[in-house]
Amino acid sequence: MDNVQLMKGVLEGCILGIIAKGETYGYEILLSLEKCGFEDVGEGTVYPIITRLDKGGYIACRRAKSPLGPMRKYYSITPTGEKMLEEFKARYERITESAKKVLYE
Amino acid sequence: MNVNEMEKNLTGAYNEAFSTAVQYAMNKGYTKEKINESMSDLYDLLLTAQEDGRPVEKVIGKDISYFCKNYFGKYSVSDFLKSTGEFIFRACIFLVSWELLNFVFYSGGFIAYMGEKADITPYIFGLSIAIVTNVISFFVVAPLTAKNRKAGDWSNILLCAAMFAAVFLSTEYKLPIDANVKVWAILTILVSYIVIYFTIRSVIRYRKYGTICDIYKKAFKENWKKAYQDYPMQKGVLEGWQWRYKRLLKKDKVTEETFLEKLKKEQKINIAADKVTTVLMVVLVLPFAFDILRDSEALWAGLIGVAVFCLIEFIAYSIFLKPMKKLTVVFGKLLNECEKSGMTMPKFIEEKLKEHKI
Repeated sequence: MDNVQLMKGVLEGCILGIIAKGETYGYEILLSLEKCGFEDVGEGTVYPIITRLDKGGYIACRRAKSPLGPMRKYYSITPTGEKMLEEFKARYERITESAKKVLYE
Repeated sequence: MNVNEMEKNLTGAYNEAFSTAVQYAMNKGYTKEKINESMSDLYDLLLTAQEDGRPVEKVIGKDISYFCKNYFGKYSVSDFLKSTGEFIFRACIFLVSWELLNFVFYSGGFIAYMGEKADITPYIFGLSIAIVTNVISFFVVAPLTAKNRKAGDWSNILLCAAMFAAVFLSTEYKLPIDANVKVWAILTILVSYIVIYFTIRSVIRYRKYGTICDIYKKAFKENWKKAYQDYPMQKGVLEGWQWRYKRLLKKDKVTEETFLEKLKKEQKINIAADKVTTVLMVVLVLPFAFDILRDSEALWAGLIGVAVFCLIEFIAYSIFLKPMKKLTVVFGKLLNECEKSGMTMPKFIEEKLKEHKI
């Protein structure tokens, strides 16, 4: 079982968690994920998740010109997204506790 | 679409990843708007990574094929409808222009022309060939491009050649039914589709972006000169200037301090020459082309003549004028950068060439 399969379940929540900390954009999200230990995650994985969150109304998107010239999308969390994030955190804690009991006790 | 300009600002592996993604999206048949939006996001990402010196693999992953499939997501029914709708819209504009051109060379009046019957066999064949080409492009060429860029490019060329051959051969074939329809009926259908599609597209754009314009195309047009880099061209310009400076210095025609002013004067002349050449090309060549059209006995012979002239003009523009315009932009950027830096031009050239990107 490789990292990719394990990551898929938590990545959406983690990305939402990063966006909840403040308005951000794609490249910054990738850097934040890498800092936290998600080293093998590329834009091909992150972008579809962000698109899903945007379509679901969990994040809001603002378009503005980046310092280098091209248009850039800046994401911020919505109230619906905040609620979803709290639910994810609660679910994640429950699952982690259960997994710990199974694997280490 | 100016993704070609975006490509020029990316080097090495960043350029490769970007251009592969562009080709993949085009072969898949996404709408121009979706491509503009997705590629604008990707361009910003890759450009930032390039400026930061971050390896491409860290940004898009190791497998470009996997990246392309996931980045654009699953090709949905909605994507198919949008893409087909856009294709039919452009085809309708072309066909309306064709009918109007036919009318220009019709000897009777407008009402008589509307009452004439036209064979719609070419329309049916053209549409069928386009659909088959799109299907092959979607299922075969796009995935091949993501796996191997060269193989994808070659298959695109072969597909285009096959499409033209099919169009050429189909002109000899007549449908075994009466496929003649009155011109007014054809034009009504075409114009109605154009109006309906344009209205729907405007409403969707307005709801999404607050404007009926393509914001990515508009934003890029405003910013491309600001962001345009083209590192190979910059290197060529700087080395050329360096060589010229040494020559002029030997002949006492310039000093380290005056070289910048000399180049700025030449830049002003280049910009004026650009504009004059563009006007000349339009004013001199196109009238010749339309003269042929007017004098031609057979409309098709005249159209071929016009097409040949336009092709010559396009080739001349691509080979001479377009690079000249880009050179002018690169000149301007470098001169401004030198002025802002406060260095003399020879010193600026030395420092710039030392930078890791050039």
